[in-house]
Amino acid sequence: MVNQRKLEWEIIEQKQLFKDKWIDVKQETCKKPDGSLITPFYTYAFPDFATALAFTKEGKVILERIYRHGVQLTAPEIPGGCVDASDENVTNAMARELLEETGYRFEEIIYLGKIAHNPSIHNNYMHMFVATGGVFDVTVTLDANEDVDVFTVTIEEFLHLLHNNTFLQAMQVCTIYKALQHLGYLTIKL
Amino acid sequence: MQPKSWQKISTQKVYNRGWFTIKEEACLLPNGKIINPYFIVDVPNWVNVIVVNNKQEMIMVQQYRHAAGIITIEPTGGLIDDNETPLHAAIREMQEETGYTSNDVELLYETYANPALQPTKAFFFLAKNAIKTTNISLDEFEDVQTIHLSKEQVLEMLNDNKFHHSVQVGAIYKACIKLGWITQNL
Repeated sequence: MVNQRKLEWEIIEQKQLFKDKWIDVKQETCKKPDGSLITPFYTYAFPDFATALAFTKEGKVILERIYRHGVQLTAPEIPGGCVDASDENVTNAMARELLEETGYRFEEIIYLGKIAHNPSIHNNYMHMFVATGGVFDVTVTLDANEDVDVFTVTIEEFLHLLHNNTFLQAMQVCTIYKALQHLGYLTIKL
Repeated sequence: MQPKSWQKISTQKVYNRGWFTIKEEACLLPNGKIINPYFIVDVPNWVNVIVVNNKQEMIMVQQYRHAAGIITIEPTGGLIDDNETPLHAAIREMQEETGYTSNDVELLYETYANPALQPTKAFFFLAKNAIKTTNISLDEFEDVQTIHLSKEQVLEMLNDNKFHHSVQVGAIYKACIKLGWITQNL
């Protein structure tokens, strides 16, 4: 199925265009295996992030409404966030983000694997999880930098939102389907 | 109480070359704080087409993705040209990259590639009963190889996280549901 012909490029020249907390864009000149040059090629480095389809102990789906300035729209999303260097592993990162963003602690956080975010311009990966048995911890102070509204819906309401393409973050739709498959809401027919 | 929009105080193009633009904005947050700079990376909208022939095979492309440094298998697709509709771009890219045409192309859904930082939209199409009609015609920067995946291979790859482009995987699931390869239980 997978042909082994060499496809990789060699980096001939690299220039940092922008570097700030949330942006790291490089401009490169690259050489293809046939010797031809590609210039400019832009890579946009981005941290790894983790997303979860998260359920309360009662089986409701935990969502959040959030404003996304890149598209200037407010829409529901599943919880998620970037993996920090201080996180022991990606599952810990997920638990931390879930707690900071939603205030819920979970009985079980199951890793569903990772997928490259957008390999044409980014170098990072998305880690996918299902979190179950969530209980709201009233003692938790939510991350003040996150301006989100947390709410819960039934699984029927959630699937209705999904079928109506309410989720605008394409990457999260990937996590949602993986999680639905894991939970038996989708069956692969072989 | 619901999250409120940010108010744009200033916006400036700090980089533009070809199809790649970076904007730096200063924004007023609802709580009165100013965020400056907020960078937006603006790349053109794109399409992907999930191409299926009458032998229940998906026709995809294998290519090197330099930013991540990996070789991926992805649905065919590309940037939408100026004065082109997403549907036209889908039909054009399918022909150029795979040589296939279809009289049965439908929009699966449109979504955003990275809404926190980019305005870029992605449109996903499903092309059924596709037929090989023309030769592949790649542009000078495209080095893609067409591959035919059986239904079993597609489902196995979905299952094993082998489609390495998280923006596209939701569309592959949707296509499989539409094709009856995956069933929903509720």
